[in-house]
This record gives sequence, structure tokens and C-alpha cells, in this order.
Amino acid sequence: MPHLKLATVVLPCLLAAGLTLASTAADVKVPKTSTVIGFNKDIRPILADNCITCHGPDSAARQANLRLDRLDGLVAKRILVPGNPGASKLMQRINAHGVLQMPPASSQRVISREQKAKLADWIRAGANYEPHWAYQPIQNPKPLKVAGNPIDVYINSEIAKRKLVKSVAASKGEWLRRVTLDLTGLPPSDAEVNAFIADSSPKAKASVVDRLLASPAFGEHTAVAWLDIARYGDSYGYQSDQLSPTWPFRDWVVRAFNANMPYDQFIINQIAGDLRPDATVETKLGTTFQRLHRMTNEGGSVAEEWRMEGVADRVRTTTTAFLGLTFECARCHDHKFDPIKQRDFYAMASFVNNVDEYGLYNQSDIVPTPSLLIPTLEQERAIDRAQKRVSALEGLLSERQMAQQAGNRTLIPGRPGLTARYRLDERNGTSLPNSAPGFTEAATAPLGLTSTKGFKGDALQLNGDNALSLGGSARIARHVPHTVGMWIFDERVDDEQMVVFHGSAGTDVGFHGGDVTIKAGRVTARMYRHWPGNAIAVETKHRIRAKEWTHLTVTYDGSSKAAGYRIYINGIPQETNIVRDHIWKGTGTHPINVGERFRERGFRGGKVDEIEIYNRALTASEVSWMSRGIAAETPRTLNEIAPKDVVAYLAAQDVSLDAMRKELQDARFAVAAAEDSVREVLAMEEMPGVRPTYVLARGAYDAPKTADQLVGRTVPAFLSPMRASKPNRFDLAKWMVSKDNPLAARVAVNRFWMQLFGRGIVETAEDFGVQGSRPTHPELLDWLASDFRDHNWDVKRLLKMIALSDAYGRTSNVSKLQRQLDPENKFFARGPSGRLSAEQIRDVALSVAGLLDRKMGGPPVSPYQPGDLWRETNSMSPAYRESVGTDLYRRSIYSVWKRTSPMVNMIAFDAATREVCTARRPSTSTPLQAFVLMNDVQFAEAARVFAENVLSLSGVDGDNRNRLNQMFKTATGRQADAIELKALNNLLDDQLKYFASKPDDAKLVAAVGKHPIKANIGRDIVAAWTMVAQAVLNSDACVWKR
Amino acid sequence: MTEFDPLQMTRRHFLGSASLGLGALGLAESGVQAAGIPRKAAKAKRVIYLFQSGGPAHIDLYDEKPLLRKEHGNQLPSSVIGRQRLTAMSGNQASLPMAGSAFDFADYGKSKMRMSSLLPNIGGIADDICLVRSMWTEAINHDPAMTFFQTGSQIAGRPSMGAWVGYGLGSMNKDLPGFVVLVTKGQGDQPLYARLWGSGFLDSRYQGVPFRAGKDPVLYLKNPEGVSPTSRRNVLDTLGVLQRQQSKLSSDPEVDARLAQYELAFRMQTSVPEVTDLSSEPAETFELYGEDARTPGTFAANCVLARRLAEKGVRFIQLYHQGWDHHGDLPGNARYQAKLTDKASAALIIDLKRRGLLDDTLVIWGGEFGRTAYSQGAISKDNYGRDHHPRCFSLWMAGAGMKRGFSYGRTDDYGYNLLDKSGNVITPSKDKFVPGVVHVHDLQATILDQLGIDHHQLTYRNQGRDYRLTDVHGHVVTDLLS
Repeated sequence: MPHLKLATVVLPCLLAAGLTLASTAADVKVPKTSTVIGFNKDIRPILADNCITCHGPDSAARQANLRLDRLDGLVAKRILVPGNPGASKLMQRINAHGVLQMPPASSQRVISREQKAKLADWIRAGANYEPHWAYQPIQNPKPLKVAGNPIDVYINSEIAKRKLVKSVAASKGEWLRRVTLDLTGLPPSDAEVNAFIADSSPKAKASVVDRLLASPAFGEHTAVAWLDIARYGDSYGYQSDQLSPTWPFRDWVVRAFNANMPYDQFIINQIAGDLRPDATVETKLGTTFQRLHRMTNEGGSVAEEWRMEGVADRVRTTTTAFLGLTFECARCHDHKFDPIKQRDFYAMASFVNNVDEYGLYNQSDIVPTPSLLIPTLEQERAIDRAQKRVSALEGLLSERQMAQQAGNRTLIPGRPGLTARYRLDERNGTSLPNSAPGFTEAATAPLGLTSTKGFKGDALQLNGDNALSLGGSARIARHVPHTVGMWIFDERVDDEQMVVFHGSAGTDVGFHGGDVTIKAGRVTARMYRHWPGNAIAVETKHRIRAKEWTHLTVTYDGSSKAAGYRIYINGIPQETNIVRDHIWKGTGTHPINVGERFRERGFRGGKVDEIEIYNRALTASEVSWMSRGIAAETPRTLNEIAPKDVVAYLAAQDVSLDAMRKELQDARFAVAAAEDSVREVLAMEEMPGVRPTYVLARGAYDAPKTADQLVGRTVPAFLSPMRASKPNRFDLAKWMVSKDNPLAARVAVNRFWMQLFGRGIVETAEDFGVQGSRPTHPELLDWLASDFRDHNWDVKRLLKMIALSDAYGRTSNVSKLQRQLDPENKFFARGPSGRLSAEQIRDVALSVAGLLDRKMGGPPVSPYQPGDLWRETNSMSPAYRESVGTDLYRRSIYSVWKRTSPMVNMIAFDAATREVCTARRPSTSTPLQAFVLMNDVQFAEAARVFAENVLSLSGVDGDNRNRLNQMFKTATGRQADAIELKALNNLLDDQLKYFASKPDDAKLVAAVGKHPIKANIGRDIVAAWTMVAQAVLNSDACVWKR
Repeated sequence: MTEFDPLQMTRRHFLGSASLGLGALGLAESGVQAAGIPRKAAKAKRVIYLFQSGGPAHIDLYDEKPLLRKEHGNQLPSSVIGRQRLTAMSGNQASLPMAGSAFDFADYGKSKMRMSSLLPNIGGIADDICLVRSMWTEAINHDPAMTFFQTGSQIAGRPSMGAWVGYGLGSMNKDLPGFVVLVTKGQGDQPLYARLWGSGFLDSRYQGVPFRAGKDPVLYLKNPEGVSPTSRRNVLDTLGVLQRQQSKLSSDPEVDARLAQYELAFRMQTSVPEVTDLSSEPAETFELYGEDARTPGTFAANCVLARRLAEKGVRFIQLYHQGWDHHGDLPGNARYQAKLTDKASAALIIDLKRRGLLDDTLVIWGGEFGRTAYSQGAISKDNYGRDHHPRCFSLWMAGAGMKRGFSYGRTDDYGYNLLDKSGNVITPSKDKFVPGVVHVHDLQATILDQLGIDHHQLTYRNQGRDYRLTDVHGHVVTDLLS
């Protein structure tokens, strides 16, 4: 390959990038500035569209062992003979017909004549290859030769090259409205407009930008686009779509932008805020980002399938958000275009899957683990107090017991704490009597459960599908001590986990409470709010024997610790492994059922006999008696009790301690209750060790997992390597923002550029890969990225620089001719313009009307919706409860976002559904938008209140023209011209006349919405002005940024 | 009928989706059609999709299994289930007793199509329909299964079928949306989600527009109380002046495009109430569709409405009827749902046919999966429930381009597995097209084909990839086509 050389300088292809992709629209003529053909701008797109699917990075799909996305592939086997298109196989094959033709006819891909010519020209010129621009290091900026804002230097040079014409500077009013909308999402107030127009100092613009960046509205507005990326919603997003209390993360994003959190820290916190050495609740809250993928609680769901789905979404979102790469494509196979291997996808997954999660959620108020508790100071103190009280009572009780032992050592007949004894020998229909002295609550068994020969007398034959329900007094809960003992016969039909008994509630997607299960002879006792992360559990090391009567006892002391569980087999305390040992909040209090749980694998084929239940944890001695069938008897002398059990036994039979025991139980309940009130949010929390992660064929959760599919934690080879030896998520985060990774900073500055200019320097903000758009200004992008990194990833500084550029400050009003030269304004010769976002449109209307409530943060609010759209097609959904009072007028970022039924008046304006990561919204015009702006009560009311306010203005005497002027200016930031004013005036006259003759209609119009009416103004006048306000609020001048 | 896109493409949008073959576009000014997707001769101009949500039991409706009746109550052999997964609802059941259908089957029509007595009216149109008994899907839970059927992916974020069709073909109508959604009112059962008629990564112009029963058939359609059409007209005229000023100033074509949307909205304020008002329908309509068609929001009323929308040139009419998720008391529940849907479904076909619309309207009737041969929960002599079953189920189509009086595909004697043409049990794979069985993507490919679109070519580039309704799968099932 003597003629082929790698292009030494990769980035400065400031050539006619405009010739690629979109600019081919028929009526657009972009002046050519160069005829030099570049690999990245001209050739790679042709190969990518036509060849790379079969001759690219995807090794499984690769044909003829040929790669055309890389230098080595292109030069092999005379595919390319630089300088000689005729001798190049590439040209031969794309010009061939029949079986040799490439791409084959069956692919339905066609290389156009122009493209073929381009390929030939490129080969003739030496076939210079360039690696994909985005994977190359950020070019160190060259010192600029021209003074001024560097942004303008780059942009002006490109404009000059293309012979485009710069538009003049926007008027002060235009600029102020634009920058205020772009930085805060709100329009400037009249006072702000007047002040700025009056300020003739050279720093006037800079001080406006400083003011806007310091305004809390900045964070609120800037957060919206990020919440699209983070697929933030207030609901879980599938099927019944219960609400999920995720809003602390939304507020975190707002705070981060307002506090100007350095962007590298913003990235680190969202990937691994829990793992940083200086982690706090605040940094951990960033990791909620990783958990905002949707979750389901649909009955019948397979937890592992959905856990994998969540992990895959994490990978997709993380890589789109921070790398601008489309990893998702590599979930099922190697990426077709970018060199992302399928292994890379799962290697990335192995960073973000090492958390103790189940994969499904159960109900709205139980946050699936891992989660983060965010107590207020008060709550923290209350929990602390409650815990101290438990400790104190435990100490006191123990002292009293010791004292007791020294005193009265008389044995009292009876079995202290026995609340139920079911011998299962007698049966009256479905009822089985309780023979515990003083207790009468019978157990019930459906007729489907039959009696069989038992350990003693009859036993109950279980079938796995029916439960024996024990009497009412026996309860399982986190704070309640108990003992359950019984004879069991494990038929061991298979080695799957079976429920022996449980006291819990829920469905097959998750239970909360306690249970005892057997799996291949090993017994597990658990208490949990959400399995597995929020739970205590122990498992026996040894197995019980199958098909043999065995006595099983489980005791629990109410301590909320795994050590509070003891499992006894045939009266012998078992060695156990602690499976989980951290539980918080309540588990509920549940009656006991034996042999079955809803849709779970019951104790099929098993038998149970002689069940006893105690309201305390028995001592080992007592369990031993029970297992030997002498449970009904009382020890005659203390010698029958093991010495270590004596104190506990004496205490147990001492009723004078009952009050204190009750107090302790209540105190333990109080701990759970105090915890219950604490805000809890989905978050990341690393598990010990590393979860083995496999490449899953076709991305299927149940694909075979073999040793050669095991992946380690690595990043794709085409990016810079990660230097940590045993990397975890925190190392991934650090790698992301390291100097070696060129993508994070480029992707970030491109997004902020987009916030102001409406389009990125790379238009496909979500895809910096081979199929994405090329940067229109590669040098500027790199300059911005490098400058951003060098200045501590300072977002506000970056935005200020952009906002103060001449390019941003130009008018967007240009001649048709100018517009045609660059319809999309890719080269920024005119100022940016575009339809406001869904949130902005609503916020602007509320703000103009003086209705906007600027209260920040907190739980989402529910503004006007026609009826209960949530439940209209989803009877499993919670109901939509419209807010009252000022909550109807909060900024749209605070509107509740139900992902299967998002706000219709927002979706109409292209808001993202937030079901998946969205990096860019489209911008459309539809009739539904007209309906919303004209007829939605939210907007109709805004017009009405706006009208009332204009009518109430003091100092505007009775002159309608003055009021119209004021109305127009408030809504649009500029003066109405004569024609506009005349039209508004005509409308007003018409409507005044009309409503004067229709007092009933006027009353209705003037009363729309829940905001109190101003009764001192004539209804007909308000109604007429409301019509005028509607015209103004619907006009381009209000709904568009210009 | 001329092709017209009421949602006028703006230039911004054109340029934003550069991969669509821009050469084919006539650009926005003429407001002609949606994307530059190559077309071929279309047999269907429009689609009416009668989605039966919840998963109707094929064994009780369309696929007779005498063996199950004979073996009623006996354990389903594990060899039949093989390695197929079960849901977590019945997967832990101690026994899986076979459940024979409580309903008799009979031969219907000249084609002697075998169908359940539960659907006598659909039986009556047997000679007009093309019944597929060998549908299969991948998802086993409702949400992913419905999302898969309607968007081609179990994962959210993709455009729905109606959105794809609108994107590919545009609308045929100047004052109604091209994609309308009708939901039977008050059914409960399995939820529906906005994404099922959403536009995914396509833009919001392609979203389905739900028409709701009641006084506000489209959300926000009605003027606020007290605002007369005249006042609205005046406001729009004034808005027109303001817009023209802005247009002069900025020379931005989007200003005019936006004003055109207001005019379309204004027309819709008349056209939508007109089309949704069934009071002008003759008594004979209600004899045909059933008296419940007089009650807005019933499945029957929606079927009448679907016909009216079809007449007006709406391209994609998507009905949803919730209520087929019968885990328990299937006989009672299925009887009830059949009562709500049977007569009107058949009436729609009859009505379209006599109006000459059936020849270019494709009607589809089916749910997201089938139901198990075994009973979920308790089984008795005449009662049982059935769990979800994705491996095989039935669905029928009628009209444009489809064979009539034609049954296709076979399942095994248990109604549990698919059989190939020689009667062997097969494990289907979407990668390998087996004649005789129809994967969801095959169905989608076939629907698009009838609309004159090659499913390979209906693509949209998003995140660097050219997405399709049929992902990288799907085959047109030519066996079904007349």
C-alpha cells in the first residue's frame, strides 16, 4: 500500500461539508468552495449506506471477510488501487452487472451515478483515508489570528468561504427576548425590556446574560432537555403505569444547572455518584439517572427478562447521553456501522448491572431497590430517637430479665406465648380447630386439601395450589417476634424454590412480608419490603431430607436483623448463611398461609402436621421439646432447660414483663413508621463483587451463558483504554470525563450550542458515529470542547460565550434570497429562530398572563386535563387528580409526567414521551396545536386573565390603542406595527359589539378557568379582550423565538 | 381521490430526515405527500384494524381442538410444551390441566370455515375473510406484546403502524386526520398506552388522533364555552394578518405553514363532529350493526364510525376493544365479549362490501397473542381460564387483496404448537420464513404490501440506523393474497 497514507491531520476538513446529507434538497444551492473529496465527508457516507452492513464492523454479518470501514480492509486484495479506479475491485464490482454486482440487487441498495463518480475521483486522487472524526482526539486549538469572540472567528471564516451574507444585528428587543427564552424558557418582563433598551453601556448584554444565568429559571429551563435524555418521568411506564416518586432527581438536575455544577461532575454523579470517595446523599441522587428506565408490574412478567431490559436501557441511555454513540445497535450483534462490538455492549452493561435489583416493581409506594433515602433533618432525628428508644427498651428488658432470674424461679404450668396449635386431626368442613389454650381461631383449608396420614394422627396433604390459612392472631411483620413450628414432609418434586409458609402480600411481581421456603432441601427464612435489596434473610447450610417427616421451626425476635432469625431442623439449631441483612420501612403485618402463595410455586406434594405458633422467639430448649412431641408439656424443673435458655424462659412466663415487651414491639414499629415517612428514590448502590455478565445472543435474557461469552469490564477498543486495573462504575465515570475521551466534551458543548442555536454543530446530537451528521464547524466544535474542559467544564461560562457571540446576536429576519442560500441556517449567517418547546409555550402564556407560579421543586403537580385521561383507557392506572389553586400554574417542568399517558397538550408540541432516552425533539406544526392554544382551558384562561390584567393597568387611561400596544408588547417583547395594531383594533371593535349583544356568552368567556375573575370589569369587555388576547398569544411573535 | 397531506411537511422536517431519498420529494409548498418512499400498485387504500386487546382464545373462537375436549382436566403432556416459557402467572401451577372449549364449532359458508358458535355473525361472513390460524409472536405479557404488534418492537420509542403508514403514504383527506383511533368505552381490562398510536421517533404529525365518544370527539376540538364560530373566525382572520406581517418580516415559510394548520383546525371543527355524529345513519344501519351502535363509544358504534371515516378517506382507522384477557371464567367472559363484537365486526365487512369499499379497504381482526390449551387456575366440567400463549393464535383479515373464504395455517391437536405444511411441529424463528406460519412481522409486511409499500423500503433514520416497522425481519405472505 505504498500510495496510501493515513491523513495526518484529521479534523480540519473545513471543506464543503454542506455537500453531504441534507443539503441535497432540490431548491437549495450551496456554493461549492472546494472540489477536493474527503473520505469522511464524501466517501464514508456512501460506503456506510451501501456496503458496511455486510462489509463492516459486524463480524457475524460480514461477507467475504471484507471490511470497508477500515483502512486495512480497503487496501487489502486490491480493493483499492490508489490512483487507478479501473484497477480497483471496488469500482469493478459496483459497476458490474448480474451476480458480481455490488451491492447486490437483493439488497435494494443503489449507488447513484454521482456517487460512483465521486468514488472514482477519490481513488484517482490517491484514495486518502481518514478515520472517523469523532473518535479522534480533540484537536488542540490553534491560536486564532483574528481578535474577537473565537466563536465568531470560526463562524465568520466559514461564512466568508461560502460567500454567504451575514444578517445585521438583531434589535435589542429581539435579542433580549431570544436570549431570555433560550436561557430561562420565559419571556422578558416589560421592565426588563425597558431597562435593557435604556442601558447603553457596552456591557449591557453581558449583564443581561449574567442576570439570566443567575436566575433560578435558568436551571428549570436547561433541565428540560436533560430530562428528555434521562427519560425522566413520574411513572414507571408500563401497563398499569403506577406513579414513581422520582421527582427529587428532577430537582437535582435543576439544582445542578443553577449551581453551575462543573459538567464533568454532572457526568460523574449520574454514572457513579454513589461510588465517589466523597459521596453524599446529593451526589448519590445523581445516580437516579441510571434507574429511570421504565419498569413493569404486569402479572406474569419474568423478573430476569425485565432486569436485563432495564440494564440494556441503562447502557443505551448512558452512551447516548455522554458519548453520543448508538450502543443499542450492538445489543443483538456487532454494530453495523460503528466499530462497537456486541461484547462492548455487554462489557458496558457489566459496569451498570452490579446492583441488587429484582427487575420488577410491585406497587407505587414500595421503591424497588437499590434506593436512596433522603430524610429531612427532622426525619433523621425522629428515626434516631426511635432507634434509641428501641435500644433503651432492649437494655431495660434485658436488665429486668436478669433481675427476675435472681428472684422468682418458680415454673408456671403452660406454654408461654402459644397462640395457635393446629393438630390437623379434626376437620369440620373447611375449618381446622385451634387447640391452644385460650385461643379459638380455627385455620381454614379449602376442600381441595385433603387429610392424609400424618406424623401424629392426620396431616394435611398439600397440592401447591391451595393454602391452609391459619387463624387470625398469628401475624408476620418486621417488628413482631414469632415462632412457627411444624412437621413437614418434603416430597421434593423438583429442585425449584417452594413456599412452605408465608405472611405477606403482593402478586407474582413482588411480595412484601415474611416467608419460609425450601429449595432442594435448603430452608430460607426471609423478611422483606422489596426483595432482594430491602430484606433480611438466612438460609440453612444443610439440607433436610426428602420424603421424610421433619420438624421445622423458624423463630424471629423482631429485631430487623438477619441474626434475629433461627432455623431449627428436628429441634437442632441450624447453621445458616446470611443472605441479606438490611431492611428499612414497614413490611406490613400479615396472617400466615401454609403451602401456597398467589401464582408462586407452593409446597407441592408436601404434607404438614402439628403446627404451633408463638408470639415470641422460642428458646432452643423449647424448640427441642416441640420437636420431640412434648410441646404440650411444661418443664417440671429448671434442669430441663438448657442453662443459656433459663433467663429467657423465666422471662417469657413472667406476665409482668408483658407491658414492657409490648412497649418494645411498639417502639420497633415506631422505627419503621418513622422510616416510612422518608422520601425514597431509585438510585444505584454497588453490590459486593462483580455480577458475571455474558454476551447474550440476540440480546435475549435467556440466551445460553457460556464461559467464552463472559465479558470483563472494558470500554470499546476504538476509544482510549481505561487505565484502572479492576474498574468499577466510578472508573467508568472518570474515564468518561478523562482527557483521553474526546466524545464527552464534544457531545456536551454540542448540546449547549443546540440550546441556543436550535441545532447542533453536529446536527445529530444523539449520534456522533459514522451514520451521524458531520460537524458543520469541526474546528469550532473542538475549540469549544477543549476550552470547556480547560475551564473546568463551566457550563454558564460556555453559554455566556455563545450568547454574546455576534452569530447568536444576528437578526433572523432575512430576505427570501438569503434564506434560500442556507435554509436550515447551518452556517449561522442569520440569527437562530424556531418554535418554542411545549413547556415554553405553556410557560410563556402563563407568564404573560401573570398566572405563572414560580414556586420551585417538589412533588409533581397536575394542571388542567380534560377529564381523567389516565384512566380512560387504563382502568389499572391511578386516577388523575387535578391540582387546585396556584399549582395549576406552575412551570411545565413540574407537571406530572405519566409515561403511558403523557400530557396531551404537551405531546401536541412534540414533547418527548420520556419512555426512552431522547436527545432531540422534532418541531412540527399541526392542527392539534391550534386546538390546544385556542381551546385548552389552560390557554383560554391565560388569555382571559391576560385580558383582565391589561384592562386593569393603571396609567393607560381608557385608550384601547394603548392597551392593545401594551398587550402586544407584553406577549411578544416588541411594539406592534401599524398593520398589526389596526387588525387587533378591528377585532376588538367587532368583539366588543358582539359580546355586548351576547351577555350570556360573554359571562362564559370571561369566566373560563379556575382563576378568580375580576368582577369590577364588564363581562362583555373582558370577553372581547380575551378574543384579542387569543389572537396575540397564538401569533408567531409569541409562539416562536425569532 | 387526490393525495394530500393536511399536516404539511415543513422544510425543517424534510431536511431533518435526510435519509428518505429527498429526490423524490416535491417539497412542502404543494403539500402533497409524506415521505419519498417508493410505491408500487396498492390494493388497499386504507386499513381498519379491529384490535381485540387482551388476547382472544383461539381455541374457543377459531381453532377447534376436539382432543382437548376429550382430555378435559387431564394434565397437558410436558412434551407438548417443550421448552416454551410460561408466564409467572401459571408457570408455578402444580398442574396444567387441558381445557376443552365450552363452545361448539361448525362449518360456516361455502368455504366450510370451521369456527366457534360463539361468533355466528363472523361465521356468516366466512366466505369474505381470510383466517390465519398460525400467527405467532414473541412477547408473553400484554404490554410488550401489544407494543410489538402495533410498533414492531417490544421496546417503546418506535412509531406505530398507523404512523408508519401516514409517513409512507400521507393522508387522502383535507380536513380529517389520516390516522384515527377509536376505543370501546368503559371496557377496563388490559390498559392501552399512548405509544400504541404514537409517532415514536417520527414527529407528532403522524400520531394517531383518538376520537372519543361524547361531546368533545377530539380533545380540545370545541371552542371554549361562549366562543362562537364567528368570533373564532374573526380571531383567525386577525391572526392571519399578524402572521402575514411576520412572514413578510422573516420570509420564513413556516409562518404560512403554521397559519394553514389553524385553517385546517377550523375546518376540522366542522368535519369531525359531522363524521362522528351517527344520527343521520338510517335505521337500517343499526339493524345491521346492532342496536348498541346507537350508544356512542360501543364497539358497534365505533365500527359504524370506522366505515364513515373510511368513506371520508381516512387512511388508518385503528379500533381497540379491550376485554379479552380471560385468565378465569373464560366461557362466561368470552360469551360476553363475543356479544359486544361479533355482530358489528361482521356488519362492518358486509357494509363495506355493499358500498364497494371492501375492495380497497383492508380489515384486520385479532389480538396480541392467543391463550393456553391448559387451564389457568381451577378447572371444572364447564369452566376454566386460559393464560397467555404467544406460540400460536388466530387472526383474520378481509378486503383489499386478501383471499376470501380462505383458512391458513395449522396448529397441533392441542392448539399449542405450530405445524408446518406437512403437519410437523415446528419451532418457528423469525429469521427463517416458513410458509404456513405467520410471524407478527410477516403480518406487518403483508399489510404494508397491500398498501403498496415494500416494508424494506419504509425506513426512517434515527440514531444512525434506518428503522423499519418490520425491524430486519418480515416476509410478505403471498399465500394469503388473492
